[in-house]
Parts: sequence; structure tokens; C-alpha cells
Amino acid sequence: MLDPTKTTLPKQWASEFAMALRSRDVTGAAIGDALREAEAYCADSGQAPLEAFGPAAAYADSLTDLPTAAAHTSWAARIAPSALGLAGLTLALPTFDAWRAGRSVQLPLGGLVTLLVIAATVTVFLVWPRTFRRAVPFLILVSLGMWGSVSATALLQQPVATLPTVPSALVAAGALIGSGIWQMRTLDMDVIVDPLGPTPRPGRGFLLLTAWLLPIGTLVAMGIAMFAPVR
Amino acid sequence: MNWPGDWLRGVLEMAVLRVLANEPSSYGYAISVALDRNGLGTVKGGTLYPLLARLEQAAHVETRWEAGDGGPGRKYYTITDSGRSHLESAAASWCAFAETTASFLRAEAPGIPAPSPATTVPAG
Repeated sequence: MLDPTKTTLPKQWASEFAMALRSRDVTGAAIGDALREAEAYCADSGQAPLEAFGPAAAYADSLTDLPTAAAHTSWAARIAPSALGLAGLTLALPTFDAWRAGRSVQLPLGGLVTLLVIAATVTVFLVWPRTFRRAVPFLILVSLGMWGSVSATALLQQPVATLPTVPSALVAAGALIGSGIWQMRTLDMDVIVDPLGPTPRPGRGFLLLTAWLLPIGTLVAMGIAMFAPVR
Repeated sequence: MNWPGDWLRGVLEMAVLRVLANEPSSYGYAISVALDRNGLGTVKGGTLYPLLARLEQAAHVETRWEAGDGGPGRKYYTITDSGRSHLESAAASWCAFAETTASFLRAEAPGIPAPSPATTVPAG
């Protein structure tokens, strides 16, 4: 596996270049090739990548003939299973509380805001896929989404909707299991391959853990919640 | 000498294949140096590598990586039979085009016949 920031190229240029190629679904092997070629050319010519190749995103755009992965691995498709899992997690925790207390599910305002933030983030990726392929806008968007979700969950505890427990549990479980199965189908772990190094092969255990991270996390959160007083 | 980019774009693919046809195999920077030495001017990496990727995709070249001896590893390009036949046919066409263009640009006579004036229809 090749870490773009571990080449002799400037870290920001290499990261933006790899990210721009990744956002176009260029395969990990081809990204590794392009990175190592840029590195070799700069070392041979004594030029900085900006001088030899121009801005990273523009150079990545010009490499139109690199092999790409199947269309289902677009960024929107990549984050959609996680978004579904997060939605399931958001619903599962108040449902678990309600089951313990023997009452209906009271969805807190923070949970509702989190669901909306998740939907908004996925929509932004779907509508403006090219804008958010650069490192800075991508990090700003993801950070805002995470900050918004965590803040809303922590601060907005007042209930805004009352839902029946069994249907809520079924929807939450369906979303979590669906996200795990969806992740298994789409998770290709197409890592950036160093053409001069050994071919990385992620283990099946690692793939399973990655695909089922959110359902497992939900179970862990429920286990921790067992020690909290019933609300 | 650095030629206008528009001129170079038309001939660069053939020039790169010519460099590779003259060598058993070569890598990006060496190809760039060979082009410069043969009078085509400096070709930057940002122009050369997209072209090499296109040639690889079209199976006109084959590639292999070799670890560097104390330096960076390099991707070596070797022209294929398909690349050679593409070069021969493209170079023959280009030479014919270049000769036609050169002979036209140098000629002082005969000129291009002037177009006949358009027939105007009186209004009304």
C-alpha cells in the first residue's frame, strides 16, 4: 500500500492529486503508478511537481486514460451505506432506551437534526461531486457534518416525535443490517498500490469489521447504555 | 527552441513513439530529454504522462517498473508491434501533410483563385 503523504512529493500536492484521481474512481493501482511516476520525474528533472505538472487537480483531470473501477464505487455510493448505518444508529439508541423503560420511542430533536445532517451531506456529495473532491472542501464538509451531528445529539435532548417501539426497532435494525450488507457488496478496499512494493491484500476479518463497524458500534453503545439508569 | 503548443500537440504522439522505436525501452524523463535533444523543445511532465497513459491504454506501448539503483523507481515504456504500425502510418500521413503545407506556404504562385462575387438580389 502506498501512502501519498509518504512519497518524496510535497504532501499537499500528492494528497490532492490522489484524492482527485480517487474521486474519478481511478483504480488504486493506477493512482500508485501515477504518484510514483510523478515522484520519479521530479527527482530526475529537479523540478517541483507544481512546475512539472501544474496544480494537482488539473493534472489529475488531464489523465483521462487511466483505468477506473466500476461505477458503483463513486463517492456518493461509497458514503451512502455509512449514511444508512448512521441513520440506523441514531434511531436505535432512543429505541433501546424506550424498550428498557417500557414506553414509546421519544426521538430527541438532536436525533432528528442528525438524520437531516446525514441526508444533507449525502445530497451535497450527490449534487456537487466535483466540488467536494478536493481535500479542503471535503474535510470542511465532513467536519461540519460530524460537528453538527455530535453537537445536536449532545445539546438538543428535548423529544420532538413519539414513535412506536416495535416498528422503530425494526426500521433501526433494518437500516443497520442493510448498511452492513450494502458495505459488504460495495467495499472493494481498492487501496493505492505501490508499483514497486508487494501487492496489499486486506484480510477478510478486516473487511468484515469495516463493513459491520456501525452495527457493532451500535451494539457496543447499547451495552454501555445498560449501565445507565433507565430514563 | 520551444515550438507553439498547438503545433506540438499534433506531432507529439508520433514523436514519443519515434523515441521509443529508437530505444529498447525508456522512461518519462528520458523521453522528455530525447525530445528536447531532437529539437522538439521542452515537454513538461504534465503534457507527457497523459500522452503516455493514452498510448498504454491503446496498447501502443507496454510498461514495466524497475526499482531505482539508489534513486527513484522508474516505469519503462516499450513500443509494441501495434505502436510501430501506428507510428508508420501516422508518420507517413504527417509527412505528406507537412510537405503539402510547406510547399503551399513557400509558393508565391499560382495563388488561390479568388471566389466569384456573390450575386446580389435587389431588394423589393
